[in-house]
Amino acid sequence: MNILGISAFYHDSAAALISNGAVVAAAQEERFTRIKGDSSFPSNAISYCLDAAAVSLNEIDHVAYYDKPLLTFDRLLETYLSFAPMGLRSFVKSMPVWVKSKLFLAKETKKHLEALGRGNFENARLQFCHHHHSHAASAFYPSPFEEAAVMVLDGVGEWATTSLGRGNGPKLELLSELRFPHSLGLLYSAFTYYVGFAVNDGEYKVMGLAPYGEPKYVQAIYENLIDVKADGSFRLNMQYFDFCTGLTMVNGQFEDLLGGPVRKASEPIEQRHMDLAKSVQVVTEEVILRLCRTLFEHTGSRNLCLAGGVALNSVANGRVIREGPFERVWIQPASGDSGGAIGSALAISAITSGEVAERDGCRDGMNGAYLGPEFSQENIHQTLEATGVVYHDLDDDCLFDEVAVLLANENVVGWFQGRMEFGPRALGNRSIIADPRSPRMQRILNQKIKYRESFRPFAPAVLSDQATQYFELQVPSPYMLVVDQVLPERCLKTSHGGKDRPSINDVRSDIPAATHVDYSARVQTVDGEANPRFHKLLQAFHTKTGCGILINTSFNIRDEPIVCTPLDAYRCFMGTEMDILVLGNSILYKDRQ
Amino acid sequence: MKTELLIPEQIISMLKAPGQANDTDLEISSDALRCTQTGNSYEFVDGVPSLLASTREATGDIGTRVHAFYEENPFPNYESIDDFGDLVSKGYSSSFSNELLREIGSNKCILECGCGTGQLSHFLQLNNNHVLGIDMSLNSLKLAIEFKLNNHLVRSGFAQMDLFSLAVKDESMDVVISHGVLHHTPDARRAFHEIIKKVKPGGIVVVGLYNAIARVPTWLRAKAMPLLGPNIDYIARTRIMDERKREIWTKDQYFNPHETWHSIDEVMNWFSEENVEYLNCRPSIYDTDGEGDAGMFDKTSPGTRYQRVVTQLSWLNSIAREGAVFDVIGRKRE
Repeated sequence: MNILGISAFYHDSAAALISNGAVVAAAQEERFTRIKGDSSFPSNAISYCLDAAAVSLNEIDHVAYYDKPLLTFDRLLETYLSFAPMGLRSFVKSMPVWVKSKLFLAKETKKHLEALGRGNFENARLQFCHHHHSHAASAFYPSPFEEAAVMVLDGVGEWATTSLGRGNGPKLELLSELRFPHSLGLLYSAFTYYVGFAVNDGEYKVMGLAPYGEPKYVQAIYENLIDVKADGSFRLNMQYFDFCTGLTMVNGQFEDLLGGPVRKASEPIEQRHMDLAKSVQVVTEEVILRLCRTLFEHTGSRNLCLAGGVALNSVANGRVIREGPFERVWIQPASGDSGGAIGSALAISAITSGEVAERDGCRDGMNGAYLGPEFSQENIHQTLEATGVVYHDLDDDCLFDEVAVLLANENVVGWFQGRMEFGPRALGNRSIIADPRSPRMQRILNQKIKYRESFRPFAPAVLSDQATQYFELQVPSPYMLVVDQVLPERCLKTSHGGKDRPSINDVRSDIPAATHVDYSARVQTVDGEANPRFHKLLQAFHTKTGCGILINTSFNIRDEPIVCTPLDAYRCFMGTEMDILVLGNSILYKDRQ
Repeated sequence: MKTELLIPEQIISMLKAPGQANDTDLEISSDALRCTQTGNSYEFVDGVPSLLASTREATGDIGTRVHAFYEENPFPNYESIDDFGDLVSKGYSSSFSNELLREIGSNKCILECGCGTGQLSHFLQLNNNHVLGIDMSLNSLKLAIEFKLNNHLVRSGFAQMDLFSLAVKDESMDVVISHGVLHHTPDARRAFHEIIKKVKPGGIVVVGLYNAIARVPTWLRAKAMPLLGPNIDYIARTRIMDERKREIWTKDQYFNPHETWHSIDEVMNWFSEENVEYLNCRPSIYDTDGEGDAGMFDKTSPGTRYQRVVTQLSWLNSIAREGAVFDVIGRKRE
């Protein structure tokens, strides 16, 4: 049975194809259209999924949509009505879009699907899945667990903002939920907005900024903004927030409470903003930990599956793993709304046919998140010939050693291999990689390649069997979703001369470019099975330097989606100060162009 | 300061001594450029490579006054641009520089005449391009070089040169750009004649000038500014946060000692006199194929004289409030 999952029309549209309960292909629309967070109908992603599975639309048994638009509409209407006449402007602005694209979704979907020219589609095959059920399914079914507790945390689905549930075999049920407007995701987004970053996109930056701050506002947040109960349930004090009625997140009272106006993007980031980031991060972690304990008591399961946008908070994930009651934790790598495409399809598969992929308790069903398009060496050659670029091919025997030597000499390498990753992280197939030992590397990467704020550190990809030599992390983290501490013996605590914490330019450890100011790192563990080529490269670098770690950052520049095709990669390579580009077995040197 | 980095090698090979023949070469040392044929040495001034003819043809009162003005007010300056990342983000977010870089492509040699403090030159050295920025203002060039060295940018270089005696070999550059500069010279037409010589046959020239129609409101505002203050300018009022930057913008726009105004037709005449093929115009000409998907360097129709007049009138409502510079793009015929 083939099921196509679609997530569309909010942010980050995506499509996924499930065959006999297993994930065959998945991709985000933004990678094809090159519009970051593209929310339009994912025509390109769907075409790709059909190609990857070599099926036409006629062979698709169900099309699963990742939420129930009528329920969301219901929430919007009720919210507007309960606050009316406030919020009229936002109402007037959003209603036409709603009515057109979302309420007539079946019609729209049919129109878009048949425009692909890939066969016919009847509306009867369209299924709608609850938003949080989609998320929960994306966390549970691909997990390695036969049974598990499931937690979904995001901004808002139809009504639900937090869902706790349980999965067992093909059965997945949500036991309890918290409802809009009381949302941990929206609290985090409100602070993201307040410290001057874009909502839905800048949350990472808040998390990255937090280690520079002190949790000075935690008290103020608990006393005024959020009322958290012992079981982790909570209510936001809507006096301070504006997302129900307005087009902004917070209002004047919020600004008064936290002592200043919203930071404009052009204004400098001050210590106060770092303290705010730290404070909301601490509150978020506390709430999640309490929810974990409650879920553990209710389900008695030793396994936990996590999804929803908040599950991308890798610092909180680290605490859940270390301090939470669960023995094992699995987090969906595409935890945001794009993952809803996978989840809805898996849920419909389980509901309609009871068909779920077999789980061995060890490997998950995401294929390392390598679910996107891949390009043959001939295809890469064609692209390179067309651009007239100077390149040559190296066979595998030489390639890994050559690239390892280049990396050790502080060259920054664009590494393009195999299938594109699904979800927000590049995991070694669409990555920019560099030597973590270089004290200059964080600055070089931020300013000359990623063109982004210099406070953001980079993530280390480490050979899985060497992770414990560098980090306190005791579990695998194949999706770069867990933050843990660098081992104390590797840290240089004395280099910052009496200050409480090192500053951005201090050398913080023997892998400085991958160590945050609080000596933490967002680790990706790499094993030979999930990504043999990236693993070989790490091994070659280890042989050469004795260091089994490389910096791994996504292959894109600020405000652009991660590259998809060889041509995207070539353009990004030329538009930055990257030194080397490797596409499959082809290698390009910037200084020989 | 490592001098071999001050001007990239590829660019050195395109330089000659000012006023000398095309087949003379320069070599760079720690504090000077030296002509390998005549042995004449051109010493750096305040760390800035300077290639002015010793017997400099007097550019007269206008040249001197404009030069003095930009020594006092380096433009556009670096306020609110902390590092190369910021500069690149700004470059990509400006539709003009974004399109310019895309159309130039990669691995090209570019001359920017009147680079000021060098932002555009720095941006265009992306895509593995090499860029030479020249200007008369030493204070502007000092800022350009300081930024280059602080950010370790290896493919841009800067030198003080006189537009009317360029120390650049003829027909050496893939692209020559002069955006908002020639109208501050004593003779824009003759300046164009000088810069077009440096373009390779088949190469591109981008020339941006004040528009004769769209500049009128600025002229009116200049008359009213002593009375009403600098906030009657749209850019100063809405886009510039920094006080010093606002002052520099206002001075450049309203108190420049010399400016001339030009039209699309005038530049088209220059093109035909210099054997340059018209490609496109930015903003594009109303109701021609230059609108829409056509790139800046694509061959498009310049439309009729009537269409060009209407276009320039319409600029009263668009570029008039942001400096009124229009760019005409041409290709030097082979």
